[in-house]
Amino acid sequence: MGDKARPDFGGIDNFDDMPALPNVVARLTRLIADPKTTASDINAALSSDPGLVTRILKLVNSSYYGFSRRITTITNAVVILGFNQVRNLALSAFMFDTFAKNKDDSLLDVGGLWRHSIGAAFLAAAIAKGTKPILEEDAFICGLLHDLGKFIMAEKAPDDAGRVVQVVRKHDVLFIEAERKALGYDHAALGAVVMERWNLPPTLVNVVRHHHEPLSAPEPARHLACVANVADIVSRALLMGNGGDRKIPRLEEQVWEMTGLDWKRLEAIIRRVADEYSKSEAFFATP
Amino acid sequence: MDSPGKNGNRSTVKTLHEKEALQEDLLRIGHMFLEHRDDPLMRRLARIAILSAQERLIRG
Repeated sequence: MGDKARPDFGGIDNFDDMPALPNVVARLTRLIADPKTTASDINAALSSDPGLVTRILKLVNSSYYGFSRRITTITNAVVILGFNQVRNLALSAFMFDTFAKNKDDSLLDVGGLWRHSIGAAFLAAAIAKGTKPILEEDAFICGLLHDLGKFIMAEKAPDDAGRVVQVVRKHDVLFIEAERKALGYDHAALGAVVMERWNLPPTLVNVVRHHHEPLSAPEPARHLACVANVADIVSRALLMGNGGDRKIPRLEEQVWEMTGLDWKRLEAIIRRVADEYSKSEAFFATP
Repeated sequence: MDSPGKNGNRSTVKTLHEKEALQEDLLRIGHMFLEHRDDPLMRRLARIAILSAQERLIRG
């Protein structure tokens, strides 16, 4: 969808001053999509961002991985983590630094929203791994970015965010219901437009656009949209952070069935993710 | 409550604090799922959420 056809986003009238996706993330995304990419190509891309290199080394040596031997070179770290995890870490670091770090004055609880997003990312990846493993890494990104529009609203249209928060508090409704009532647009559409501007793959854009009504997502995004929807709901059920309201959307039976999950598997996933989530501070605590 | 009790048993005090946190979590879960109480899928999810909150208390 080009800008001309873009819906009205209330207080956001200029998309040109949106945070840009860092070159290193865009480059890693392109490289990972190319089957001819080698570890040295990834190393070369990473070398343009020494802060990210430090962070990756910190993560790979954290309790999250629990290696007995210290990893000191980025080459070894890339081999151990894998290309996709490196890209996901770079994207997560960018999201945290841009939208969640030092934002205590925001009307939205962005710290809680960040923890909700991380929880949804871990859950989405774990659900995909257990049902359609090829989608695991894309599922992580969709979980991480599913509420991108809320972060953008808090950052770029604080008055809109304030109106939504008021409606949420007054009527005790879901954030998305309050958005539609107070603003006439919602975070799912807003996040999708920003992802388009970041040139992220159309499938991921459609997942974020439809994560509240995943069955209306066009193919090939529908399965992943169902995974993101379930991950969002389960993340709220497990009280991972704060989605911006005190409610939980209803889990649709058809959506649940499309993920291929069963309850026993979900319980196992939740146990594993709860452990990952509690260790995930290592990802973001310090730059 | 973050200081030891009369008998100096800090672990007992910590457990009480954690129990209060669990109660708060269970209230939040109860509030979230109240409107879905007639939905079998949501009831199942609520049960998992409660178990998970209890496991968090055990893990500490």
